[in-house]
Amino acid sequence: MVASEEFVRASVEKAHGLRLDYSARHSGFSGELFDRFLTGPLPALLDGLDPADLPLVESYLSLVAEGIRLGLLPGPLRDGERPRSFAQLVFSRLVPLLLPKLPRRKQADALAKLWNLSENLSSSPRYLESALSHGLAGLEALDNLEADLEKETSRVLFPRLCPLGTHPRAVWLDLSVEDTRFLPGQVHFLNPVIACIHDRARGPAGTHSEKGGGRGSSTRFHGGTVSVWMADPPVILGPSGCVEDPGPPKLQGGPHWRLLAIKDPRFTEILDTAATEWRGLATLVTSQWVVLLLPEKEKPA
Amino acid sequence: MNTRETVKRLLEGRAKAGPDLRTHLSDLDGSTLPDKMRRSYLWIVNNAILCPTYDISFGNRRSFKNSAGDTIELTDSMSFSSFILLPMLTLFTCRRALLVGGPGRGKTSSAVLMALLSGMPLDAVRRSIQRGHPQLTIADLLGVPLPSDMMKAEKLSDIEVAWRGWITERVKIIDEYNRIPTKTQSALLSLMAEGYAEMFDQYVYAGRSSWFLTANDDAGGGTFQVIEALKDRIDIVIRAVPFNTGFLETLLERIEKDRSPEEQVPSDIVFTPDELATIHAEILDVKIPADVLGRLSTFLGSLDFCRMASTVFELKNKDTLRLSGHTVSGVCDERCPLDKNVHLCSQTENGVSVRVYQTVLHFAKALAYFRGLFEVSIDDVAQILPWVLHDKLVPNPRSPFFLGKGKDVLLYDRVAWIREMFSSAMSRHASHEPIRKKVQELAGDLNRGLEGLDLKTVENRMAKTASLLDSLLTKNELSGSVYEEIILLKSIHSRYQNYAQWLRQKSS
Repeated sequence: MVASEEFVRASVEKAHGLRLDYSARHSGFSGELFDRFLTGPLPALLDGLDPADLPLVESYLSLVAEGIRLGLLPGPLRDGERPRSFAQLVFSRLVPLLLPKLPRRKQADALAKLWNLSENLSSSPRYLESALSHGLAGLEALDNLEADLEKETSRVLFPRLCPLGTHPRAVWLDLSVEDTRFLPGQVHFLNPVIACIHDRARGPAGTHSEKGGGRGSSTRFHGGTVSVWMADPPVILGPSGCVEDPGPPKLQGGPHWRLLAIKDPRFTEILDTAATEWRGLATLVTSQWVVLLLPEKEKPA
Repeated sequence: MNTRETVKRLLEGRAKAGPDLRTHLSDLDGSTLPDKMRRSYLWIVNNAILCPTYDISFGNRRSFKNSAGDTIELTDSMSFSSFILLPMLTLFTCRRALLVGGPGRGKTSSAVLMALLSGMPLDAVRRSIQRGHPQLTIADLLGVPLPSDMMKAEKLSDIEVAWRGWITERVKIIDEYNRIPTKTQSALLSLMAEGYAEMFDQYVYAGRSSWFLTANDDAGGGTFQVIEALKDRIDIVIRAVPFNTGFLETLLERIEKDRSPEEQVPSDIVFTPDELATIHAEILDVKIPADVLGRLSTFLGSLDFCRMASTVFELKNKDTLRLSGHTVSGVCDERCPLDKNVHLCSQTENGVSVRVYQTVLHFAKALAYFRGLFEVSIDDVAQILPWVLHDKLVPNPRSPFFLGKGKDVLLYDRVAWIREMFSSAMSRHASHEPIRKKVQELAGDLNRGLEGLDLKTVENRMAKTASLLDSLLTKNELSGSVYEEIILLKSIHSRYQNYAQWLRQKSS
């Protein structure tokens, strides 16, 4: 369904009013970024609604403006791009495409929940935001938002894990896909299934603290680290924002690595390892690839 | 916490669905005033003043150097542009700043932005700017007596003066102050220094305010020579920076939009009078640790000392020379045994006044507060010093220090010179610290009060003080910082001596 010309005009008028108001009141707001939402996600949202839904469109636009002001929205998501924040996924894809499919009485509530989720995730560990953005990117309906969210949250925070056993599976992951200059260095676990890999050449990330930048800037300086969700299949989550010093290189899970060195000629000199009863990870001196150890079989959560 | 609880918490927040089918957002919990200050700073940097120079920096430094010796440093923490940050700190501390630099460098724009941040409307700001010119009279500057009163008045107090509105504004801007005639400068001085102006026996009070003066040249190259007393009232000097061509595109965009940044200041970075008052009070509450104070006194204390100024110990300072019409360059020679390349006293013609100490401490507190800290670090002091001392310290060009390789350039770059002096003082501070601690212990004893002390205790303390004084004088090189300690020890001894005298008289 294509939105009527009158509906589009009324929505754009609301958007222009909001733009002027935010520009005058808020230093963190960018009119340019806001305009990019008007040409991408907004038409998709309008196509699924009818003129009586103008209050919902207004709410959507207000939340986009607020998201830009707070630095939650770095612009609409482009095709093939990984979301840089959960809010970006919500206001570029989930709301424009899925919100119109909900019954009208549920729409405002769903929009409020999605905003709250975006804002709460922005102040949660970055890996949680990245993992949920990945897990919920393929959502097809918002009817069961809570159940879908519970399922994904459980996979990240409370996973059911099998021990590695004596014959774990080695999975090779190329981190140059994430950043061509990334040189995997020291590693540590952020939670039982998510590991953080530091770039050995770039030093600690996040030295530019958020405190110094102030709330309005919402600067997230997170070069130099990559997080990997050690699910099956594994997922590269992107920058982890980790500011921890991983400490000196260590050898954990020694027997597994010794066995792997015998079986796989690609497995050469180790730079650093991290291993628990359920997962293992190693970086190599001469490779941009990392090796993950996963159990042979693991029941899905 | 289990998954269900986690998800419940994630979905709860400030957005709520209303009965009108709209989504409503409640306000964010109030961010702090330092947050707002930093937001204002960032808005100005990103939208108003095109300033590529980040010369107030913190954190670890990494240097890059070419074969000709040119060096640039990168740091791993926040850096700020002095041209924007210092006017902001002036605004919040209610002090007086001089913005210097060539025409069109944004000096007046920067001052105007500060007035806008204080909540003044743009029209009012533009009207309140006092522009210096050779014909500016006291009446132009301060106001005029009402003509009708002049005709009828039988005594001075019958004449009502129509004071100019700018006098009571929170932010006062004097453009090109070095073009103001000398007589009018004197009227300005009383307003700046004492906070009031007088005319026909009537007074107007400036109130707590921040002053921004601009000049194209701070070396006295204006139409009129600026009177010394007025110069002395300026707390900080801010240097404008040249335009960087990397910003040409932004400049083009600004022309095409036909709106100046001053017209677009967002309301969330404008401070209310209450907020300004709170910031002022909170800045004063920022703590300065004893170690930072000690380091500052090591540096500033060594500037005023001149071993050659007098044979009387207490008069071995640069004021003695100045009052007799002499200069440091005239006496600082081989007769003084101190190494002129090491001791800072040789580099300056003067020391600094108490007002300067206060200004440094106040601005260092403001900088720490701006950074969101509860106490001042030595880095805050180091970053503030060059701008506060910029016009206060006069270099001694004949000092052997400036004859060293590559040092002559420091004679015309005062910021670099003061930074180098401070860094040199800090490297010597560690060796001086044990002496300072001993003196501070004795001073601490005295500061706890004399009440209840018996004669024996007082005499013991006097003996200790005299012994330390003797040891300092005979076993240490008499440098500026040692001189300061000895003078302090003598004052401690004198106070004990007076008290002991009183005790003796009482008992006899």
